[in-house]
Amino acid sequence: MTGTRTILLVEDNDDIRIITTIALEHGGRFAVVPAASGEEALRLAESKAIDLVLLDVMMPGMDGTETYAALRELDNTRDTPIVFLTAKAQPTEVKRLLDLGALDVLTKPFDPLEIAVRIAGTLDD
Amino acid sequence: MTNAEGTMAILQIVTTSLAAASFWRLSNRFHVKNAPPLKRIALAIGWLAVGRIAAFVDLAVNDGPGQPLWLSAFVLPGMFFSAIFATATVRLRSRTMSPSLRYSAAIIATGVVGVIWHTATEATFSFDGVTRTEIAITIAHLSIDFLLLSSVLTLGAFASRLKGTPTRLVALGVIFFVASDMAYAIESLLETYRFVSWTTLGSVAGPLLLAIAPTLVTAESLTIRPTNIASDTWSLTYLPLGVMCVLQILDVRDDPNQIVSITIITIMVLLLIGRIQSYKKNATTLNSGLSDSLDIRERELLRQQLLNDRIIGVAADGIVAVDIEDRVVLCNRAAREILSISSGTPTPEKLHDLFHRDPTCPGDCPTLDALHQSDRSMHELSLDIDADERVIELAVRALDGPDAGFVLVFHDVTDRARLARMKDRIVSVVSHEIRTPLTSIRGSLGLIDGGLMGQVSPEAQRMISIAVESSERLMRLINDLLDVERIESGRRTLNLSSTPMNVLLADAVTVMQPIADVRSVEIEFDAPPETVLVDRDRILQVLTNLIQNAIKFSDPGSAIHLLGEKDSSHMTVTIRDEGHGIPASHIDAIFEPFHQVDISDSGPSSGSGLGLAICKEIVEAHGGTIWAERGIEQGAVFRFRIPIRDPHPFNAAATITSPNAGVS
Repeated sequence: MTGTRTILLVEDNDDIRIITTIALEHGGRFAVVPAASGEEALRLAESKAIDLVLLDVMMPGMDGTETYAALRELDNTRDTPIVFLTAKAQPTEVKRLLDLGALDVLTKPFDPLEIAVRIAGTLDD
Repeated sequence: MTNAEGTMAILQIVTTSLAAASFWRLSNRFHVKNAPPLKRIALAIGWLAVGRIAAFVDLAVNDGPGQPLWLSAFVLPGMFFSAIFATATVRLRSRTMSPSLRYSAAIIATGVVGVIWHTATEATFSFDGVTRTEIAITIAHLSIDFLLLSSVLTLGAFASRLKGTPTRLVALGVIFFVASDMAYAIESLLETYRFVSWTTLGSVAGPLLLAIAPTLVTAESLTIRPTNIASDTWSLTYLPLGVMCVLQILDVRDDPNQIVSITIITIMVLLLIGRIQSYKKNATTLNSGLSDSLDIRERELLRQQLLNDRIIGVAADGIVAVDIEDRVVLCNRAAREILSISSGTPTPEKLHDLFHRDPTCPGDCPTLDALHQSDRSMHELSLDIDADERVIELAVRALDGPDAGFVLVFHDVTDRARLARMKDRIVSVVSHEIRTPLTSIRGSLGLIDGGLMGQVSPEAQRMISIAVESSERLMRLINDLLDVERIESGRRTLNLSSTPMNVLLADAVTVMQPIADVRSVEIEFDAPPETVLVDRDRILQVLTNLIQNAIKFSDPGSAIHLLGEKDSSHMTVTIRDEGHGIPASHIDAIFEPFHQVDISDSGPSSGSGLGLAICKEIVEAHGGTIWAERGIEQGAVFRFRIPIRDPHPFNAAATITSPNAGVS
């Protein structure tokens, strides 16, 4: 454990965003910066140091794929690990997202506590 | 005139008129080329009917055949009938009888004529009180009757080339008539003729058969194949016959017995001519015989071609053929309709312009590429026709041969494509809309379950666990149902592409690795780089499903082994785990939809029961098989076997017929 990590959580659905935030912040391992859209996420990413991005795929406005590309353009998040959240569980979709360069893909619905474990695991690697 | 005579006369009139009308009607029913000259035959029989009426009048006025004999109402129309009928059938003969058959007929006829004539004339000449005129008329009468008999031979030959019942009936009718007429000719000369006797019955039965026969004729039985005969054959055949007749008439008075020798000499001459003709025919086979058969073959080809044109014309699918330079050589009606080419507009000359009517397009566009894709079974192609989107389902086949082009067969699936697109949208939206609240439910329950929301009573904890498990199960069910739907909609069109087997396995492992990591399960895999022709997405789905299953039943620290093995025609993939294995009683039923192996310690991992059924569907759609086995020591083994297909399936036929097929 190397102190509190900052996670940028990009999720348009309020409920899921709140639940995930609670789960991640529980135990003090992660600090969550919530963003309700891709545009907001980009603004926040410019001003804050981010350790990992949790990015929803299907969102109104900028979707996850576009946001991913834009984040990769920012100096702040050029090399930041990004984990996708997607409601599409098909192997091909998962493969597509992994091919983009995502660290991991989590399919909905997910156990919020398992997410915390999985993210901690990937960050510690 | 007695009652019997009157009845006989009226019967003769009625049957003869009926026969004439019957043939006339037949001639109006059919206008078939190469059919017998029916109108002429009808007219001939009509003459006979007129003769019958005259005979009736003669009977009523003179009470029997009036004098002089050669003006008798019987003789003249009867002779007209015989002459016309015989020439009509001679015309027929020229188209029906082969030369060799005609020679045989002529030789037989010569013999028969000679013998009958000899018998008939001898009988009449030995009778006193017969004038020269009477003898001449009788001989002419009999001659024409013989001519009529020769038409019976023609009709017989004609019948053998057709479904012959009507023609045979006509021949039989003519025989009856001739028999009766000959009897009349001789009897009247000998003055033993009686109007009502068994011989005159033939003059009723004959016309009756002639009346019935045409009613049995069908269009099919009228069409005959023509046989062309060289014109000199005629003179060669009938010259000797004619000479014989003349010699017989001239010499018969001096010595009737000469007839026999004349007949024999004529037969010899005919045989000689026949032999010369057959040599000649052999020499000119290339000119006449072969051209005859070529002519017949050409007609057959023409007929077949016309039939093919009609079939292509009425086909419900659009059919377009192009040559090697993409020029349109065929475009059927359905194709023009689907592509909205109005009836007055000419079909565009180039393939591209037919399907992509955009004057600004240079011609080398994706539409043209799609029109050239002959390596796929059937593919959909979106067209912009008069600013209206049209989707066609298209199969392209290359024609055989060095200068061959392509054939495109297609039909309009615009409505189906629109529906499918709408369904995809609905499925996508619904699945997202369901997953989102479900994620919230699952998340909220997870937080309570994990104790983040404070302590709950053990009972509440149990309820929460049930809710968590149910929400996960619901999610899997939705996923599987969506998979089933996708398979259903995609069964028709597998999106086949050549993919290396090791890449497929690596992709599947990449997708499943995170889940395996969570359960601390190792995944090992090995496969040859051989390509298989598969729907990549679907096979990936099978692999991930099977791997997920294996992970589910694996203990932490154990491993899953994936192996791809190739034989001459198939690729077999094995997924083996080190878990508890499949109970023997479930091995066969495991692939049935909603079948679940009830393992008490599987806990929350149980799925919808559709996963393996989906795998089976997908593998079978590829022409493969899938089965489960119990591991040798422990664990479960799943295997599927799919054919490694020729990436160019339309060349497959050629490959299979080669004797070396399967060796490489």
